[in-house]
Amino acid sequence: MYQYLSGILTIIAINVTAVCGLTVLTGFTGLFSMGHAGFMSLGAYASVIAMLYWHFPFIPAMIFGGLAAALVGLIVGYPTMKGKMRGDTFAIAMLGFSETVRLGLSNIYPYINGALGISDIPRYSEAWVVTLIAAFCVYITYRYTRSKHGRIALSIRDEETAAELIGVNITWEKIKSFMISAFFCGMAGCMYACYYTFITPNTFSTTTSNNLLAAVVFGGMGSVTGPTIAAAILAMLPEMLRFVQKWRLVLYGAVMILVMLFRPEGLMGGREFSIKGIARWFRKIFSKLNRRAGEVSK
Amino acid sequence: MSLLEVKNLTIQFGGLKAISDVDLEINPGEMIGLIGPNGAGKTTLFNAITGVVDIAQGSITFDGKNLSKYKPNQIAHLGISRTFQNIRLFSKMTAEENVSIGISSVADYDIISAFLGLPNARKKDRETREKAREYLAQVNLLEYKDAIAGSLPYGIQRKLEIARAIATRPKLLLLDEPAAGMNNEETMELIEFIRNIHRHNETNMAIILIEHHLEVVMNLCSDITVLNLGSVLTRGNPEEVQNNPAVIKAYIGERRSRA
Repeated sequence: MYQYLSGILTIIAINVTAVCGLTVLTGFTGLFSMGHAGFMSLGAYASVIAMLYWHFPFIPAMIFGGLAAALVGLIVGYPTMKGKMRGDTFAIAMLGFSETVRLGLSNIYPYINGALGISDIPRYSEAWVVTLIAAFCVYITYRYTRSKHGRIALSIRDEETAAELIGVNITWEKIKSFMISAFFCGMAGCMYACYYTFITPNTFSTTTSNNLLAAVVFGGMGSVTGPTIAAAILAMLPEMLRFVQKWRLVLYGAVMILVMLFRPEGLMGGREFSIKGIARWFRKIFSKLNRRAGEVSK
Repeated sequence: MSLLEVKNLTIQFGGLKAISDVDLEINPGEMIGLIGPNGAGKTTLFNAITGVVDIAQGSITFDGKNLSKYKPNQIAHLGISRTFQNIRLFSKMTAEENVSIGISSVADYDIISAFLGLPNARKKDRETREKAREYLAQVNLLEYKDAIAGSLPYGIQRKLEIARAIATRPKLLLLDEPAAGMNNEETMELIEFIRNIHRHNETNMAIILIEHHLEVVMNLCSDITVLNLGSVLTRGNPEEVQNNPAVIKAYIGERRSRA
């Protein structure tokens, strides 16, 4: 039982870390990506190579994986942002990117065994370690989005033309957000590899990308805590729905549809989760109830 | 030396000449009006000055620099700022944040400090916030500092957009129909507002004003240029322009052909 719970916690932490990155890109810069599994894959492979061949310890290897993903992010980001890709074109371009990574890795045999993948990766991803890392990532992402860098990204999402004409270098700012998202996804990839102890090019699929994007939209664009909560819920949901057995993935889809139907702005809708916010929310409900009670007593 | 010099400017969209052979000049601290019927090319001229559209012929010189070599964001840093015909505020951000982006459109600390919230980053954030409040106070919008820009009343949004534009400390401010959609009372208030920011600023700012409300232009500008069908029809002081038969024909003639 303990192992089962710590397993779920690990998966949540990995998802949250990756979603932190994507929330900077999608939630704050307004670029939808359907291919961030590619960065998770690259990060995982880079860090595994660092660990197995160069004997890096876990944390440096994880950061190395993140940096490798960010470097590829720069190479991919420069032409796409320079070409002013956004919206659907960018999403599709990223889909192509993740497929390229998958097929590319499947055909490289030295060091990484092509489609067979790498096994016997040391199992560093203890539940408490990755949870701490994920919590730290949520905190620094929150700090980043409140900083000038984050506000400038948000200005691009809100009104790109105005941002550019006021002096924001939108190409560079977008590349920056892109590289940050790649960095976090790369780290998450490393954590994943060190939990399952083996990876293949097919480990991180389009489904992974879609789940990340779903968590950001589900949690609310322009919020950090919203997608964090959503990532946790989406990671837990398939487990929580195990009692309905084969129907669980159907229910999973139905829950997503219902949330998007009744709360299109996402769980938090651009706001952040805070104790103060909850208190305000309760006060609002109480005052409403009071008013209604008053009307009844009249 | 003049601040902005537009010479023989021609802009083409495919086969259509949106602007042909337009000359325009403005000196530091001046305020000139730009009027003309719909489709005369007024906004296109602004787009050309801010680097959004490509120039087919001619040149635009600002402060001695040829603007065709610069990108829109670089032109903004040279000291040209503008507002838009349809308001383009950062609608999900607060009024204060809108002005903050105008004050520092390039983050002045590195990414690591931003991630970790280091003291130098927080200090610079605080400085920018204080400066933003100063600007808001200057234009009497301080009471709205924490309001989400998109939820503000229309007239306030217009003013906030102007406040955001002057927060970049421009030498030249381009106002594109600031009084569009306003009633008389709001328009009179806006005239005072623009006159105020023109008088009290640190950079001896020049203003070019596009406006359909003639009373706004007549009230504010000593010099008016009339555009029609992409070329300069005439220029002069308000009375001259008002009594020019060609101007009347351009406006009224257009109306007759539409009926």
